[in-house]
Formats: sequence, C-alpha cells, structure tokens
Amino acid sequence: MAITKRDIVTWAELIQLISQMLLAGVAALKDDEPVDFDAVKIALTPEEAVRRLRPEGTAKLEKGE
Amino acid sequence: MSLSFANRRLVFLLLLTSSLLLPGCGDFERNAYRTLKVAKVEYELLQEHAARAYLEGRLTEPQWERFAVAGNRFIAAHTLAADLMKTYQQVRRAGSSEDERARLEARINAALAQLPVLLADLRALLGSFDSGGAAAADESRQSRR
Repeated sequence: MAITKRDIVTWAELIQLISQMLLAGVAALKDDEPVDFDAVKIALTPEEAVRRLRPEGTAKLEKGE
Repeated sequence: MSLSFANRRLVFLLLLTSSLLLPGCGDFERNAYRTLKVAKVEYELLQEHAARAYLEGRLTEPQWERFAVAGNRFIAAHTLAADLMKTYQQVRRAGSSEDERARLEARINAALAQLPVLLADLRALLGSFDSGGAAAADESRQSRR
C-alpha cells in the first residue's frame, strides 16, 4: 500500500483546512472574551437614562423641535 | 482508488468531528453570555428610544412610567440571570455535583427564557404608544400648558 503523491496533497489540504477551522474557532471564542457576567449587566435604569439625556432633550424642546 | 475513497471518508469524518467539537467548547456559559449580551444591547436601544421619546414629548408621563416599570422588571430579570451564571461558574470551579449543576442550569434556562418575552412586551408597549400615543401626548402637552 504505497503512498501516492495525491495522498500527500490530500493530507496536506486536510491539515490546512483543520488548522484554519481551529483558528476560526479560537477567533470566535476570542470575540466574546472574557466571559464576565458582571460586565454584561445593565447599568443604566430608565430613570438614569432620562437623567442623562435630559439636557439634550430639554434643549430640543426649547428649540421647538 | 479505494485508498482515495477511504481518504474522502476520513476527511468527512474529521470535518464532522471538528465541526461538532469546536462549538462545544464551554457551550452553556458562552451561549448564556451571548444571550445576555444581545438582550442587553436590545434593551438599551429600546430604553434610549423611549427616554428620547419622553423627553421630546412624544410619550406622556403615565406612558413613560409604564415603560419604566416594565424596563425595571426586565433589568431585574436580566441581573438575576447574570447572577445565576456567576453562581454557576463558581459551582463549576468548585467541582460540584452534576445534579447541582443541572438544577442550576434549569433555573438559568428559565431565567434566560424570560428575557425575550419581556423584551417583546416592552416592544409591544412602545408600539402601542406609537400608534395611540401621539394623540395622548398632544393632549397631555396641552393640559400641561
């Protein structure tokens, strides 16, 4: 059972493909790193959102927009 | 020729295995994290839209208060789910039993499942203000003068 040139090419392509998939997988994991459940909490309540936007909103109302 | 067929079969099996294994890395935590992240972004957009509408006089005071109540309810549910996930991480690191983890996973899944429902409620609430709210906001503005 001799190994042909074609077999080598197939294996090389296969290894390349698997490494590309692994890299893509790692990149996808990195995309969400770190998994910090404190950081993902909502910090701004509706009341605070209005307070933060108020000067801008008041200015617009005064301009009659 | 038969070797080539075997190779193809091996390639297929390796691809299948790697495609199953890759998404399997820390699936539960990562999926929960993504769900919470997406829900947060979506909620913050809704909240900002509602707050601007209120400040620009397109929502009445009672409408804004209804939104704020529903919004705080959503934030509470979201925070609960995030806290449960923190507990889950601690439990996993402590090497707790499968049973305990499974119970926690069930609670987390229930908490996460609530989020899209609450978001849909908020969207529907804002939608109801948009359709019937313009006239009410005009009336409210006139009565304030």
